[in-house]
Amino acid sequence: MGSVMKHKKSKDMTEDLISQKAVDALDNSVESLSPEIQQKLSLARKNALEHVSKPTSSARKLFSFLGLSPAHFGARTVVSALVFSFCLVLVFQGPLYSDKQYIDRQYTAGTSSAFTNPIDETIHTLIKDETTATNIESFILLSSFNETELEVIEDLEFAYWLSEELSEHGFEEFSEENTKGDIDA
Amino acid sequence: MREVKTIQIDDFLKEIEKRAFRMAQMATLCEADALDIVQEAMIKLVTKYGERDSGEWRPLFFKILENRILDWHRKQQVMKKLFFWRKPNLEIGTQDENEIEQVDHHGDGESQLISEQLGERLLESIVSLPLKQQQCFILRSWEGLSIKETAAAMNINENSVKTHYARAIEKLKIQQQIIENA
Repeated sequence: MGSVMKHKKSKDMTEDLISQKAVDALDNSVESLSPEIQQKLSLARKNALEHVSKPTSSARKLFSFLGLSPAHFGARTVVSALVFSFCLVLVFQGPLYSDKQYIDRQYTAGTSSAFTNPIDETIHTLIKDETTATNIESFILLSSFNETELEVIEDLEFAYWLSEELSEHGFEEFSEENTKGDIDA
Repeated sequence: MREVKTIQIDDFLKEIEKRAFRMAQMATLCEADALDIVQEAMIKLVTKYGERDSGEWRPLFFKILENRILDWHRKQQVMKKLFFWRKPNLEIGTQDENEIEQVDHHGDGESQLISEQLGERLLESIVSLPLKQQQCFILRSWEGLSIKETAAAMNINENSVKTHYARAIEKLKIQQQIIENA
């Protein structure tokens, strides 16, 4: 029993000795670190400490969660983003909605169901309604013309509608349709 | 309040940085990577755990450092598989040889020279240990972490810590005997 204890004690002592020697060697190696590395380490420390001096607001947390930095959102960036978005709208939406011929082509290709997108259909309706009485009425209501001027505008609008109908269907067809309409009515 | 915390954490990092670097350097055998690892660990400690009690920093820092070292090794394993034709870049080996040469030139006495050379050899023995044994030995012996703290830092159980430590000591003992006999 005693020899076992003695053996264990000597083993512990050897372990301690080895451990102590290793610790001394490690300490010496740290002391002999080159000034260049020491400088780099202090730079790294300062770099890390910069993170503690910055207060973390909820907005900053949100930015960091999204992987963004608030520095990315300067006035110049915001303006650039707006211009870019506007250009995107022009590029992708402009030719589709402002080109009346394109919309008419789509419309005449089939019925109104030719529009796969309901927004397309709405916009088409709006553009088509430009010459309708509803728009003219609202135009008249909102305007500050006197009675004579309004009559002139209405007459002009009627003349424009008439000329369009004539150019599309021809005079004879137009008169037949109107006659039939009168009989049916 | 924040300034006090900054000063405290600065002191803590100042105290620990060199040892952390040495530890990372021995684990990675690359000076630049060791510096990166230490910096990342510092930043993570400051940003994530800077507000915690200063007593908690030491085990937390070593846990972060251990994780970074492990990540580095995992990355190296993947790189080794992808670029199998490349030879590994072992900076520390050449650096240690240089340091031994410096010791040869600057040693004051013969006995000091021998003890320093023995120390260098011992360091080389520590470097040659398997990673887990090496880290376990350094954390327990050098950093003075308890078995529980070492287990938490290394993400292993306490029995594994004891096993790794015992094996490390056994290997170092053998190496030491070889050095002394030579």
